[in-house]
Amino acid sequence: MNRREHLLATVARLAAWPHHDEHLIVDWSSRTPLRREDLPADPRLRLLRVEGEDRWNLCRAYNFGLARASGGRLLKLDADAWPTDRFDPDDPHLRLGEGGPVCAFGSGPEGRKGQILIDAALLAAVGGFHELMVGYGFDDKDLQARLTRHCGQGPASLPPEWLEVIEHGDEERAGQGRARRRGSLEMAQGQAAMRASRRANRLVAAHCPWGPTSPASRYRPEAPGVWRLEEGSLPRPAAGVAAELRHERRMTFWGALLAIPEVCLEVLPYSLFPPSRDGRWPVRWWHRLWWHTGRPLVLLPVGALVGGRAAIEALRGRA
Amino acid sequence: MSGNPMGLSVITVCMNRREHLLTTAPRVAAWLHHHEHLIVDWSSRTPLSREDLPADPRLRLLRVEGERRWNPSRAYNFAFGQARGAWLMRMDADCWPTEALDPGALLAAGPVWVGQGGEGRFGQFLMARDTFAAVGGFNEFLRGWGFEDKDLRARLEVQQGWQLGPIPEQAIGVIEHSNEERMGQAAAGTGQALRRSLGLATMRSSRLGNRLLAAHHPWGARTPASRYEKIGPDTWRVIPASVPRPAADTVDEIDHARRLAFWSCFLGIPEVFLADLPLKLVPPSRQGNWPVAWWHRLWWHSGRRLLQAPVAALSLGRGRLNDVRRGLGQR
Repeated sequence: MNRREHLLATVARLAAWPHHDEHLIVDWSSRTPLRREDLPADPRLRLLRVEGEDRWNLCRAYNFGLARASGGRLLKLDADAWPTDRFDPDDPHLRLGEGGPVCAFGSGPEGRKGQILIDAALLAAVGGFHELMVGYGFDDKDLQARLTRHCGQGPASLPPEWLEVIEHGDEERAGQGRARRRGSLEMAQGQAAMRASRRANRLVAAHCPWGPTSPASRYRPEAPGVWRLEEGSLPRPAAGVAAELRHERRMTFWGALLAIPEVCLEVLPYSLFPPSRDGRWPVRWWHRLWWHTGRPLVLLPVGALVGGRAAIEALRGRA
Repeated sequence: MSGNPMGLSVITVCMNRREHLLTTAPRVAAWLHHHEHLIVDWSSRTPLSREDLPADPRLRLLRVEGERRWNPSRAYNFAFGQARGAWLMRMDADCWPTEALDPGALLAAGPVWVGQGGEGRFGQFLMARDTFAAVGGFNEFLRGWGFEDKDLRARLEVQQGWQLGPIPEQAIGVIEHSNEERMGQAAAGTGQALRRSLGLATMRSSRLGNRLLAAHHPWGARTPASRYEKIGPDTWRVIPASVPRPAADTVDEIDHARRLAFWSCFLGIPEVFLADLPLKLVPPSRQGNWPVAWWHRLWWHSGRRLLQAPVAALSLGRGRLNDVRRGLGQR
């Protein structure tokens, strides 16, 4: 979704890779739709589009794509990643035991860990990605945990040198746009959004364990190569869980951005620190004012505590 | 249930909850519907003795030695493994079934029944042994208090597709007690705000830690659970190597989250700042106990209150502004 620049850089590299029979790209309602003619003239490349989504949802997007892939073995590859010449999908070390299914997760620096090579039947046996997760984070770890429980052993590792990744910041991952400079409010906002998303997705996995019988989203074809979510098929957590998740996201985001501890946030008026709307956090002028004034003030007594204790310990040491 | 030859086992596990148990065990003994009341003493400092409990022939007392921490998941899994009934009912040491609880009527209407109402009732349940076994029982990766009951419910409901029926609130009696007591701390009296704050912080960190553990280590029927060896009549001890342990990186992440949650709640310091403080100042827990030192108490009485002042000011200022706006809008 809206990662055209990344995709144009990586898709040509994937087209040069000799090990696959199909490269399925799903355009998840990008503002400017991807066009087939912008992509390499590789006959293995198929482009599908899902219309009507207003927010990036990795789990639903990949479940849609993986369900429409024709191969028996699947390589989940983000738009910013590509396999290097060293990547050998037939390496026996990628199997779970001798003759077992292929199941391997990327390893090494961030960005590689979310790439997965797996037999389609094994992925289906655990129900694919967890569709109640939204935003960024924990989707791959959740899948890995469920595969480990299902198989009785953890997945194999794709060596770091088998994958290349375009580096980019947390703010872009969290869908907050590119931060202007380090230490800026925009950067803090991106980091707080990602923190909230990561925490909430962990709680989703705990409260609503996903499995092959979990009701996943369904899609109907709208035009050749274009699909749309079937109304009423979007899975939602139970009301009690949804309320806890909303609370946790709100506490984590505002707590991290404004440096207000949860015990204080809980007693402050709800309207001051509202929940996100479609993944966007409504940061107002008074939040900015607090970030530039109150937040540094809050840091003062913490600094005093650190300094005071160090001084007392030093005096004790002398005595 | 009296017509069922396989019978109903009521299961209670406890650690240092003797007073609660001495109140509730006679009430369970007075109940008519069960064939066995199995009590597991999870390494209480003063071991429970059979003579202190009602002379009900249905009551069995077992003890697990060598446990340093309360672990309801492992304790209940052990107890359910030792129970003889085909139907199982969890009943914590502070709970008892009342006359209004008719398990036969409930099980005729549905397969799984769970407590509702006050907090203490929530964890109790009634179900067939096979149903409990189908999800592998409780998640033994969880530590300390909290979430083991919700985790079990989620796996029964979401993974197995069982409909969970609510046990009527009046069917379970509960001895009410504070967060501090739940966390194994002394109850806070009037004016002991610091102790209450400590109980709340301990409970929150435990609750968060267990949610994260459940997310990282989902449990199932194929997950290897702890095994125990018999070391004396009715006395058991865990085989240490059999205890499920989370992966090292998960332990790091969860210990970090627990640490920040505890100290942030107790000291009122934002987590983003706590993460920058030296580990010695805000240390991790040791076997579930938080090392609260004199400077933490000093901070609680001074700095914490200072930190709350600007927040209160912001709250008042913005709240007033909204009130004024609303008032103007209404005109």
